[in-house]
Amino acid sequence: MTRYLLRRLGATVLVLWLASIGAFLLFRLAPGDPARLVAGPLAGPSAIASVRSQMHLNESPINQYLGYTDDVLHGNFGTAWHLHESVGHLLVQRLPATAELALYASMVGILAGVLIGAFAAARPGKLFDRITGYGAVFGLGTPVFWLGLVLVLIFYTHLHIAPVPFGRLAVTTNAPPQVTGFLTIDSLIAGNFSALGDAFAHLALPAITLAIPIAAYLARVTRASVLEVFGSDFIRTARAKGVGERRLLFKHALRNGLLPVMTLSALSIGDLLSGALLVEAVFNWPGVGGLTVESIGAHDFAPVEAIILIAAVTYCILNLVTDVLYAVVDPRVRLQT
Amino acid sequence: MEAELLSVLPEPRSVQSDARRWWASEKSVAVPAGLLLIYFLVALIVPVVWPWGANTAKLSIHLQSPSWTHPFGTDEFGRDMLARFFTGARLSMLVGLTSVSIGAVFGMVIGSVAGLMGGIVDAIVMRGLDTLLAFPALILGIAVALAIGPGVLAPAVAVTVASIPWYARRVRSEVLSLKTRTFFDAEKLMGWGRVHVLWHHVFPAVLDGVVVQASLAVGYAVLTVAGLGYIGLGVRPPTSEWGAMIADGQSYLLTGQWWVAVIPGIGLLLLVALTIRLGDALASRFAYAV
Repeated sequence: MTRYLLRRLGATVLVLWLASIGAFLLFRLAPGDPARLVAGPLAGPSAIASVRSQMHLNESPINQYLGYTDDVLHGNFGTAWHLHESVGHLLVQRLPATAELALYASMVGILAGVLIGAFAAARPGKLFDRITGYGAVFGLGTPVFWLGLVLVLIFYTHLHIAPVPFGRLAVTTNAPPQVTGFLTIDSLIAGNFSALGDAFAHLALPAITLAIPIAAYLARVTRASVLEVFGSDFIRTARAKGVGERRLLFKHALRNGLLPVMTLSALSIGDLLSGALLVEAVFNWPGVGGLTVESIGAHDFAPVEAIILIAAVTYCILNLVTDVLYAVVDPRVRLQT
Repeated sequence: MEAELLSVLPEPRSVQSDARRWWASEKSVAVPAGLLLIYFLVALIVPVVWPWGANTAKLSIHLQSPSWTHPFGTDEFGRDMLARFFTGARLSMLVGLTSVSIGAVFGMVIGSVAGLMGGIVDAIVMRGLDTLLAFPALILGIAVALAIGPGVLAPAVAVTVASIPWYARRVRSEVLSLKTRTFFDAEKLMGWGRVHVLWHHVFPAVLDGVVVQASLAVGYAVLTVAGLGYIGLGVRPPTSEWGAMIADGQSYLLTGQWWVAVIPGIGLLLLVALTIRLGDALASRFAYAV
C-alpha cells in the first residue's frame, strides 16, 4: 500500500509540475505583452513597468520561470487591478462561497444520481427506467448556465418562490459572524435561524443547477454498474436463497456497483469546478467562479491565471484521493502499474 | 413433406423485408443520426434562404416576442432571432465537428504510437496526456483564449486539445491488449513494418471505440464552446453564437423577454442530447463500454 501511495503521489507531483510549466509557457510566452495583459487596459507605462519587474519579465527565461515558481509557491499571484486587492487575499475571501456551493451541489447530485440509477436498474426497461433514461440524456446535455437562467425564470420571475438571484444572502439579512465561511454552518453556530433559512433559500437554485448534470451522469453510471452486478452469479444465488428484491438491490448489487461510481463521482466533482464558474456568474455568487468571470469581463488576467492553476491542482488532488480510496477498497488495484 | 421442407428454408428475401430487417437492427443508431443530419442541413440552409439576416439590426423592432414574421422573436438590437439561432447552430456544429475529428485523429495516432512503442516514449506521452487532463476543458479554453485572444479559434483549439487525452488513453489501452494477441506476433514474423501494422491492423481495430468516443465528445465540445461564449471568450460580436446569445438575453430574462436567452439554450440542449443518444446507440451497437 505504501508503495502504491508513493507512486501515485509521485505521479501527481510530476503532473502538477508539468502543468505549472504549461501554464507558465502559455501565459509568459504568449503573443502580446503579458505585463500589459495583467496590468490592464488602463495602466500607464510606469504601472506596466512595475508589473513587468514584479513578473520577472526583465530577466532571462530561466530566472523568469524560477521567479514564477517561487511566487506561486508562496501564494503570491500578483494584484487584481480592477479590485485593487492582492489575488491571494481575494481567493481566500472568495473560496468559502464556492466551497459551500460545491459541497451542497455534489451532495445532492451524488445522492440523487445513485438512487435514481439504482431504482432504474432494479426494473430495467420499465417506465421509471425509461423516463429517467431520457431525463439523464437531457440532464447531461443541458448547458448549466442556461439551466440556471431557466430555473430563475420559473422560480423567481414567475412563481416568486426563489429569492433574487444575487449573492448568498438577502441584503436585509444580517450575516452571521464568520467562523467557517460556510454561511449555513456559521448561522447555525450563531443560532441565527433566519439567516440559516435565507442562506439555504439562496443556495437552493444554484446548487440544484450544478447538481443536475452530476446526477444525470451518475445515474447512468450507477444504472450500468448495478445492472452488471445483477447479472453475476452471486446475485442469482442470493435470489435463490430467497433474499428480497429490495435487500438484493441495496445490500448486494448497489454496494458492489458503487465502486466505479465512486471514482466517477470524484471526477464529476472536478467538472463541478468549471460548472461552478458558469453558475456563479448566473447567480452573481460571490465565489471564485464569479471572480473569474468578472475578471475576464474587466480584462484583469492576474486572478484568472491564478484560478487556472488552482483548478488544475484541485483536479489533480481529487484524482489522487479517489485513486487512493479505490485502492483501499479494492486491493487488486494496488498491484497494477 | 414438401411443406415441411419449405418451412425450414429461409424466407425468400425481398427488398422490403431487407429494409425492415435493417431498420429493426439499426433503428437506434439511425434515428438520432438522421435527426442530427436534418438538424445540420436545416442549420446550413436556413441562414441562406431566410429573408432576415443574422446581423441586420433594426431598432424599431427590438425585443419583439415570437410572432409569424419573427418566429423566435427579436433581440435587443432588433435582429431576427431565428436567423441568429441557425447561424449560431451552424457555428456550433462546425466547430464541434472539426475539433472532434481533429482531436480524434491526433488522439488515435498518439495513443497507437504510445501503445505500440511502449517504454520511454509511452511513459513520456502518458505523462503529457495526464498533464492535459489536469485542466478541465473550460479552464483550458480560458487559458487558450488568454494566450491567443478571444475569437472562434480559442474555443476550437481548446476543445480539440482537451479531447485528445480521452481518445489517446482509450486507443492506447486497446493497442496494449491487441499486442497480446497472436496475430500481432504473426505480423512480426511476416516482417511487416510498424507503419503497415499501424495503418492496416491497429487503426481499423480501434476505430469503433474512437467513433463512439467522438460522438459523445461532440456534445461536450459544443457545451464548452457555448460556455466560453457565455463568459465572453468565444467568437467576437456580432457573430451569432449560442453561448453569447444566452449571455445577451440574461438581462432581459427578469423583465419578461425570455426568448432571447431561452431559445438558443433549447437549440444547444437538443443538439447535445441527440449526440449523446447517438453515442449511446453506437456504443451498444459496437458492444462497447463507455
